[in-house]
Formats: sequence, C-alpha cells, structure tokens
Amino acid sequence: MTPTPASAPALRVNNLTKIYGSRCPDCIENTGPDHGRNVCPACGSVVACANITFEVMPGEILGIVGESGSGKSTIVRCLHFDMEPTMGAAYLRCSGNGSDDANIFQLNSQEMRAVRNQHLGMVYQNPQMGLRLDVTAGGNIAEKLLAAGWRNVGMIRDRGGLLLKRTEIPLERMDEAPRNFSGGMQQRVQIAKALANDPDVLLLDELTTGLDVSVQARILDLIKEIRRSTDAAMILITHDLGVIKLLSERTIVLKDGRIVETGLTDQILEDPQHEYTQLLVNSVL
Amino acid sequence: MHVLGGKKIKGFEDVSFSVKRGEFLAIIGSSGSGKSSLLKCMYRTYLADSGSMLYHGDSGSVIDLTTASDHEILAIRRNEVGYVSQLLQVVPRTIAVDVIAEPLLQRGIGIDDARDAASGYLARLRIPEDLWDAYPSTFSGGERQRVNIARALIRAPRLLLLDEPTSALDPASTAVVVGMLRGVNPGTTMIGIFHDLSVVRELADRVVVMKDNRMAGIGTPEEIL
Ligand SMILES: Nc1ncnc2c1ncn2[C@@H]1O[C@H](COP(=O)(O)OP(=O)(O)OP(=O)(O)O)[C@@H](O)[C@H]1O
Ligand SMILES: Nc1ncnc2c1ncn2[C@@H]1O[C@H](COP(=O)(O)OP(=O)(O)O)[C@@H](O)[C@H]1O
Ligand SMILES: [Mg+2]
Ligand SMILES: [Mg+2]
Ligand SMILES: [Zn+2]
Repeated sequence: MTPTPASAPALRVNNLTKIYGSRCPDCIENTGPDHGRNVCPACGSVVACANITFEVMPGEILGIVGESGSGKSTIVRCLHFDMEPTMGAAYLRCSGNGSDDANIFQLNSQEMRAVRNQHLGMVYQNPQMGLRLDVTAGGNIAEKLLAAGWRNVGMIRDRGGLLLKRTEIPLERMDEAPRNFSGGMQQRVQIAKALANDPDVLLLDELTTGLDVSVQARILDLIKEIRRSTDAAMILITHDLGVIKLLSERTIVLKDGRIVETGLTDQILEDPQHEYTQLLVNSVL
Repeated sequence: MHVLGGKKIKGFEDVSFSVKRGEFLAIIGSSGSGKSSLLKCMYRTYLADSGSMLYHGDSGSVIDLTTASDHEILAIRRNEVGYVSQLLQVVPRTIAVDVIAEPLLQRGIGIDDARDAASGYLARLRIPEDLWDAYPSTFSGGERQRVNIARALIRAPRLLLLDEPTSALDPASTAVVVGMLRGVNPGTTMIGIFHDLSVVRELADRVVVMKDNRMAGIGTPEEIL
C-alpha cells in the first residue's frame, strides 16, 4: 500500500482547548509561550492546551514535540475521549458511522465509544494506562476486539495471535500477564491492542520513552512497518527529535500548550523558525 | 523553475534565474556563499524569507515552492523532486539495497522488483557486491554518497537537486557518477552544486555563480569558466 495521502484528511482538529480549573475570561490571554507559562495568574487554572489546529492524512505520521508539560498527552487524550476538551472540534473521516461531518466531541457517550472502538487506537505513555497488567496479553487484545464487535472466540484468539506475532511477542507468552513483561514488551502488547480494530487513527504517546536504545530501535522499526502496511494516520508524540526525524514527515512543536511552529520535519530541524524550536534543536546538537 | 529574489538573512539574497525542462544548471561559488541554502530552499528544507520559486508541473500546474502547503511539497517530493544532500544521510538499521529500494516500496512496487532495481544501481555505481546487504553506516564517504545518489535516481525524478554529489568520490567513481547523470532521462531537469569545474564542463548547460551570498553571474560553461 502506498502512503500517498488521499485528498481528505483522516483527522481534522480545530481549536482544541483544555483548561483545568475554575477558569476566568483571561486564562488564554494570560498564558502561552509569550508569557512562558500555562498557569493563569488571575485564577490559577492550567491551560494544558489551547487553539490546537491541525490535520493528518491517511498513511501519514504527524510528529508532536515539546517539553514535559507542554500539553502533548492532553491533545491525544482528548481525541481518545479519555477527557473532555474545554473547547474545540475534531472530525474523523471514517466510513459508515455517520459521524464523518460531526464534531466527535459532540457525540453522545455511546457514539463516542463506537468511534473509539471502531476507528481509534491508542498507545499510552504509561503501559499501566493502556493495559490491564494482570489480564493475559491475549485477553487484553480480546477485550478490544470484543469492544469492536467481534464475537467468535476462535477468530478472536487467531487475530490476537496474529497481532502478537506481528509485534514480535512470542506466541507462548500470549497467555501470560503483561505485568511480568519487560517495558519494551508491554509497549508491544499495547501496540498489538491498538492495532486490533485496524484503526483509522493511531495515537502514540511517547511509546519509546524510558526504554533502552536497542529496544527503542525495534519498536520504531515496528512503527515503520505499520506505516508501510496500513493506511492509518498516526500522531506520534515524543520529546526525542531523533524519533520524529526517523518517522514523521511533518511535525508540530508545542510550548506552554500552544503550537509555536508546524512544518516539514527536515525544515523544523534544519531551519527552525520559532525561538523555542531553535533552542530545542540546538540543545540536541 | 524560476527563482526570483529569494532572500535569507546570512543565507543568500537577490537570486533570480529560470531553468528549462531537461536543462542541467550548475551552481558554483566559494564555501559559505549560499549555494546549499539556495538548494535547500528549493526542497523546502529551508524556508525562503522573501521571493518566489515557481515549479511548473507536467500537467501545466504551477506551484510556488516558497508558499505551497506542506502536503503539496510532500507530494512533489514523493513523485517529482529528488534531493541528494551534501551531508550523507543514512537510514538506520537498513541494508544498502533496501535504502535504495525504499522509494519504490513507497510507491507500492513489490520488494523483489524493488531490490532488483536497487541492485542494478549498486552494480552500475560499482559498489562491491558484498556490501549490498551491509549497513551503510559502516560505508566510506564515497560509498555512502553513491548510495545516496542511487536512492535519488531510482525515483526517476522530474527535477533532481544535487548538493556536491561527487565531493567524496575518487576520480574513477566521479566519472561513473558523471556518466550516470549524463545518462538520465533527457526530460529530467537537474540543478547541482559542484566544486570540480571539470565536472561542470562535462555536465552543465548553464552555470550560476554565487559570491558573497548573492548571484554574481549566469551563463554557459564557456562564458563563465
Ligand atoms: N488532571 C489534571 N489536573 C490539572 N492539571 C493537569 C492535569 N493533567 C495535566 N495537567 C497539566 O496540564 C499540562 C499538560 O499536561 P500533559 O500531560 O498534556 O503534558 P505532556 O506534554 O504530555 O508532558 P510529558 O512530556 O511530561 O508527558 C501540565 O501542566 C499538567 O500539569
Ligand atoms: N540553518 C542555518 N541557520 C543559520 N545560518 C545558516 C544555516 N544554513 C546556512 N547558514 C549560513 O548561510 C550561509 C550560506 O551557507 P551555505 O548555503 O551552506 O553555503 P555553501 O553551500 O555555499 O557553502 C553561511 O554563512 C551559513 O553559515
Ligand atoms: Mg505526556
Ligand atoms: Mg554547501
Ligand atoms: Zn484564568
């Protein structure tokens, strides 16, 4: 399959904003990279992200980079309906669920579950959030397949085996609980689970952070393989510029909850426009 | 392709020229004169601060490379415009033949056919056969540079941007690469930075001279050299 982007984005996000706290009318004006803070001095609310607008094409990997606390996880958690955004809209191009033109943040909870189960895959920064560590690896995947409407036990087991094989988890460990697995293996099980429903949009939050380099390399190769073999749009969050250089053709730079720069990854790395991006790039070299 | 009044602080300014379909334009000039910056602006690795660069597609479409959307740039990078960088890029954990085959895989060509085509380039570029399935990270500068060139040529780009593609090559390898560049499809437009003036004489239809971060002249090799 070719990753040549089709004309319609798989996902469009418009002015996504998430504010924690009581909020006042000035929260947004009072925060952001120009102020160097994401906490509103007037009311103490945290503006985790504000006015986030972007789109991702099918087959494309979009990188999101930014320092710790810049709002990266908040964006994907809102998109995965793990939390409710304060403002904003998101549109998914996926067939058959009647929500193509609807702002997915305005669906009812049953529709949201359906969108998540049928069209989204998520790999959490922390495997504890994405997996039930005491349920077997196969059981974790089965859970997602059941949610996506699979009913035949034999088929569920076959699909689980296939996904684990694809993510290089030895089949004989399918019936073992991920609690006993290494960090790298836990991430692989998360990836297998995220792929179970053949998602249109795959959300990947720091999937290699904290893993040793050789384990990281194999997971990154796995993501490359997924890019080649599926048409999923991927959002890849990382604070490692090496990861986006390897995997994503376009990148968004986040600072204090705002997009400060967006562009082709090689341009972001070689000709960064925003002062903060320049700092980020230069601190690597 | 027209480049009009491109400008970049410290990079270069006041550069204007046009290149015809199938023409080979060489860029020469001293180190730091802005040659690579100019080429990178055409590939949009650098953003031009002012001016325009109009790329005329086959279909009669015209795209301003300085203002086109990122997705438009990605589409022409995938299908039409190739770039061979001055600094040798290697794809980690990928053997040489697959580094070269990758652009074909991206277009949906099967792995066996893609590897066959890639091996053909490795052979023509005289890379020893036992290196074909080795990792280019261990290659010499000249070997890597040839892998880079093969990776760009295999796409059969309409426009090929070359930043000192022969700088790390010995005279024999340079001759091979020059031969290959002369042999590419006559519809391919090439813009290349070279230090070796004998290579410029062999390849270029016209030459742009960069000096002190400005364009100092343009003409045929006979007029300029
Ligand atoms: N439940 C919460 N209540 C209040 N503030 C929160 C909450 N969750 C996150 N925040 C704040 O929102 C901001 C963005 O957090 P987020 O988790 O999105 O950061 P991140 O970019 O993913 O960082 P990291 O790289 O450390 O994972 C931070 O300032 C964080 O402290
Ligand atoms: N990314 C960059 N950021 C800042 N300055 C740059 C960058 N790239 C190039 N320059 C500067 O622009 C000038 C032209 O560089 P370059 O185009 O690489 O020259 P050449 O290829 O002619 O040797 C030099 O002064 C160089 O230091
Ligand atoms: Mg996070
Ligand atoms: Mg140069
Ligand atoms: Zn406030």
